Amino acid sequence: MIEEMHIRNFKCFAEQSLSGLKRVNVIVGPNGSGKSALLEALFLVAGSNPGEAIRIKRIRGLEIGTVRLTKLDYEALWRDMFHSFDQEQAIEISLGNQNGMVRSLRMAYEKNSVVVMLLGSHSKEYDATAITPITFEWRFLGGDPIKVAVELRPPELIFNPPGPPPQFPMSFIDITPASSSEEIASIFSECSKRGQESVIINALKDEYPFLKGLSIEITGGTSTIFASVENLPEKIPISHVSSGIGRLFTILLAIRSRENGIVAIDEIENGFYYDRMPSIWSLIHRFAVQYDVQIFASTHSWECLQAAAACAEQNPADFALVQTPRLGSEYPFAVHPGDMFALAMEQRVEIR
Amino acid sequence: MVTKPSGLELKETKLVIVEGRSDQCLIQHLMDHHEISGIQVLCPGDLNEQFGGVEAIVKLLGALKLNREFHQVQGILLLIDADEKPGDQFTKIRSLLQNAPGGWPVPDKLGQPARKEGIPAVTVHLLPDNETPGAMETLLWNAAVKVADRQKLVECIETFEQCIHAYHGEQRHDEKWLPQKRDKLKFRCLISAVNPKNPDLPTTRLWEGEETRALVPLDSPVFDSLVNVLQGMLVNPAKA
Repeated sequence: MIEEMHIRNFKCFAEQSLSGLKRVNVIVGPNGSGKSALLEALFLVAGSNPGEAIRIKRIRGLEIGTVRLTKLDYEALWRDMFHSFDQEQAIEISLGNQNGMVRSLRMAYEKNSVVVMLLGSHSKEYDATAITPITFEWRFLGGDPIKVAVELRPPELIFNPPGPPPQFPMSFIDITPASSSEEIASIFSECSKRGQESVIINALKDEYPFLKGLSIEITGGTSTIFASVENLPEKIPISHVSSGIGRLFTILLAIRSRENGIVAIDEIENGFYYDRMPSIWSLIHRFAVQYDVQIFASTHSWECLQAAAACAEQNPADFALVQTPRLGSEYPFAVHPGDMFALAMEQRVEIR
Repeated sequence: MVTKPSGLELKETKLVIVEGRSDQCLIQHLMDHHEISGIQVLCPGDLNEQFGGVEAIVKLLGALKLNREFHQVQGILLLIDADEKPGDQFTKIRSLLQNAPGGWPVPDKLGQPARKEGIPAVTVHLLPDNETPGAMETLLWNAAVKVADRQKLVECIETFEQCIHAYHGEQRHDEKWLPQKRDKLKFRCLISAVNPKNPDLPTTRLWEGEETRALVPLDSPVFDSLVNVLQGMLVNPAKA
């Protein structure tokens, strides 16, 4: 389990360290204070492929079109990941526990490895400026570092060589669905093949008794999760039953399929009716313990925090409250143990 | 249960923490009356769910540390009922502070601030004062009985106190009437007796209406010492 995290020169963080992380980490903070950036940093370091960086952009709604073979276009892909757009400094993200550094990622331009575009070999929209490729270098506890360079061969980005195997299986669940229904159906299918799907279906049925079952169906050539619902003559896509049910399904599926890994959830309250929050937190906590998954979940919601705190009161050693740094300051993250989180919420003290 | 959609915010750099909503109202109205600003008065729990007692105050102290504005707090004054024995009460407060999470400074004496680097100064004062047994209601009673034309009523209430053996030291139904409880009883009787429109009027609403505002005059000399303590906080929050 990750207990510490260090971030340098990444997005809004010049340099930040967090320690005291637990099984379930509830992240709070105002807009723009770095909640999502923290989850993204986790996603990058736990990932295994520079493509995760592109995926983050897509999750955030930034579609990457055709990348022209210019230094400007190439660097624009990564520029906003660097703190204050300072691409001269490397981005460094590391995860650790009581045994020391477990995994780290260094993102930097490889100045000694210039890719020179051949004059005349491309159309005039390409320039001849040398492009310095960005490299992603992962290091592991007890393993050799692996460096992956991102090469540009329009219209594609090529990762050379492919990244390391993920040490932390990782899922990032954003406010809007981060994965296509086909991708979710594929993960569910893998779970189903291993006989692991019933625990998810039963948990959902306990939470929403009108739900009678889940299955993968093909519509328009695409695999989608369908739900059988009480008093409905036909199955319907799970997202059509309710966005909350669809989201809970995604979260539980992520936990079940990322055993010994990490699940990051941005704005976890999204889609859930307030009175479901206590049992949903209990369910997420139970799944996280059962499958040895670490949860990082951000929220703005007071009701969501109250529900999480009630769960933390019962399981203080499993919870931590992570407060992002104050806006416009160089103050550090604050990580509070579960019992203090529960106490603050019992006393109705504003902690967001 | 109806819950507030947000929590307690810290808005001032000087905090007064009291045991309950009644104490909070008294201190707030006292400050308003004497034009004392820049101090936030807090009590444990929220409007819907009142937690009382010294233990709850120490819990609130720990909880406040998680608020994002806590780093701006300079001084905290704990105003707590003296109860039966002020010395014992202070010993209890010291013990609770010593064992509270967060490494709070522990005052050696009543009225003297305790300091620790990186943590606001903490001062403890008792009500009605640092030597007298009682509670906030002792102060209110003492202020109320000094109002002109009320002497006959006060005598009646004190006779009633004798009749039911509520004066301190007597036993009634195997339960001792402690001074703070006795003063609550007497003050409750007085509020009810002079307020036929609403004998149930809670202390929290005493100063809200024109009709009831004169029940306990906030310019009574009884409150002078307390007002001085509050004004002292503004001059130097660590010297509350």
